[in-house]
Amino acid sequence: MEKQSALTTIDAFPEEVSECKAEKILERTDSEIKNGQINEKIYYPYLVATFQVESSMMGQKDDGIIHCGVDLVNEKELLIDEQPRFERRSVISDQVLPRECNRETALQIARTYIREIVNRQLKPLRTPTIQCVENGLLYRLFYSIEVETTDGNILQYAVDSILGDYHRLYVGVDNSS
Amino acid sequence: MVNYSIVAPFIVYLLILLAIGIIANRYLVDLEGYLLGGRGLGAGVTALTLQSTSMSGFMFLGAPSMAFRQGVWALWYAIGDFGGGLVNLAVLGRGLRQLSETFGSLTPIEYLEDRYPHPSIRAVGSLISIVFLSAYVFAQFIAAGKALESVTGLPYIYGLLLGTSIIVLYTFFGGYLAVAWTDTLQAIVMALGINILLAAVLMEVGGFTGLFSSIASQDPTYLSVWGQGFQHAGAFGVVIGAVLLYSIGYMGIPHAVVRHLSMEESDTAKSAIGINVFFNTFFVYQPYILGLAAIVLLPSLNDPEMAIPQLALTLLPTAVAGILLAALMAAVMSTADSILIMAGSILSRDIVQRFSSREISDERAFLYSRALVVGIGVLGIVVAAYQPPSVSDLVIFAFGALACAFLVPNVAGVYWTRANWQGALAAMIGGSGTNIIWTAAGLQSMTAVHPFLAGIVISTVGMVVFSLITEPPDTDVINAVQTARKSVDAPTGTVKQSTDSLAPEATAIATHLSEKSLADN
Repeated sequence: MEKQSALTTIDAFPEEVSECKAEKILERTDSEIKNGQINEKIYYPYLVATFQVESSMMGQKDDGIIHCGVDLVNEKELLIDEQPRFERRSVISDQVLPRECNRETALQIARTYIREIVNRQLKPLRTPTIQCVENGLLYRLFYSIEVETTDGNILQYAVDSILGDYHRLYVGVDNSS
Repeated sequence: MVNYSIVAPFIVYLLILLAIGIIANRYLVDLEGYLLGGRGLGAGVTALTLQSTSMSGFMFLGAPSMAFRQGVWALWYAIGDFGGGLVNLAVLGRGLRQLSETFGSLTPIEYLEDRYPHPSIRAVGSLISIVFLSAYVFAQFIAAGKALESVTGLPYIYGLLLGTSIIVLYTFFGGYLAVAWTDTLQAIVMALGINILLAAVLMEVGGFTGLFSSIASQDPTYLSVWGQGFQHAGAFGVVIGAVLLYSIGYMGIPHAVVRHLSMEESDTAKSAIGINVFFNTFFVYQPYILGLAAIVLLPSLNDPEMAIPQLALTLLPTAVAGILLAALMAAVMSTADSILIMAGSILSRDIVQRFSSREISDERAFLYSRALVVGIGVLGIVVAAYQPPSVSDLVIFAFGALACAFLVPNVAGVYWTRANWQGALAAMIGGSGTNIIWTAAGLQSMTAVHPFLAGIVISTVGMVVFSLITEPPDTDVINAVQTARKSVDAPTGTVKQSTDSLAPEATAIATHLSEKSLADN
């Protein structure tokens, strides 16, 4: 009997790269790569926070808005160029990577990261004011794609559905430490 | 007495940099753009910005002084530097990249902590980094003091106080001034200036043939591979250490290792590496040749570190000399500023936040980083004023100690599965500690062994002995090392275009898929 897949509702970044396009991305990187095929879809969790930054430099006050994401599995931060958009959708629960970091911790990580960047880049005269104005949990879709090389090796990659960036997957390695 | 015909172009040049900084920031970059790190900059600007930041007082003052004191012997260091990048790439490149990919590490210190999972690795690694980065900054203070001494004619101590104060203020309040556009201009001015000076010098001495025959007529031992006066005759331990320092030492330097973790994956950064190589060809070796030329042209030079400033003042039009010295000052400020900020960041992120049980407020974090800058500034003035070491000695010491601390753990992490955190800790402490003791006690002259060589030997022994007498690493670590080692190489084009900043996500996805596969079976 086929196992029934449970569904869950999440907010996800809209996809810019379709499944078909994702398969072609890897094939285009090298003539030795062929037969890209999606074998899994994974929704990866992030906390996305928007901060209002006020800083003074040389008697001149300046303020701006900056968006920061925190990877909720590895607790690593990244800056986001634009105001993130999202859409609500129902997905298979198995495709959603479980979170390993709670919202409060992630928010603190994001805040610390922004503070560090402000201090490093702006070198402000006084302590800058950093205020979180918005935050939410968002998921980014990755395609797990298997490709074959011309000499017969099978390699596995994760392809990001927003920018089409990719990274090799070393499946079979337990990195849970 | 102050020579205003040099001081005027010196000040005008620095004011132009200030103006470009203000204009660029007012009209080209908004606050968000600045915080996002100027992502819109092209490969040329990115490359020259990196170049300007990495160029330090060593290239202007240290390298020529070594050549002036030791003759062609100084080129042992340059030879190592020439091949260092390739050695680094060949030994660590593939292995370190695959291992950091399986761990999902983004920085060298993260890699060490993932490979040798124990809190002491990050704590000790961070402390060693701060201490020796500070020594590197001290060298910049001394260089700034000497640059100001040569321009203004003020005594060294006043030049030092003025130079250090400028650097600390620049680090505190530089804000928008330290922009990529000013760094780009500096890099161009420095490269042009040094090559113009080289051309003037070669014309003066009758080309390379004239240079070497003049040196030979003064003292042929300057042309000996054993150093002036055969000072290091038969001292293979010193020569090997000098060559190894820059040929393998980069494998222990965090900045250089980052390149092999391929952190900067964008096409811009990849093009920038090519531009850097081109730029290095026109900059790296010239200071050594100028140091050799000073033996002929400035035989009674009291302070060898003043070789380039004095050659510039003697052979170039005063305005050009003033601009070159201003570029030197700007390079020193840029280098010292970025290292001070890096040290502050290591302190707050890797030590205070990591090991503090309480949440650190914005005000407190701000205070810590400022306090560290002031602390390093005050200590730097004391060191540089009380008994100023030469810029070259200080830079070689700091570079050597950093390399001795991290080279063995980095390499063993890739090639020796049995290497564990106890071994890595012993290697870091033993390697850097030996380098310090060897240098401070002057053991090189007694043993004919270079401090770097001694440090690497002790670090290796520490790694092997402590790894073998303690428990092997966790199974997770061993699995990751073996998987990275066994993994077949992906095609080159695919590797080059891979986005390395996705390493943590890829590692988590791989773990999830592995667990899912096990559960399904």
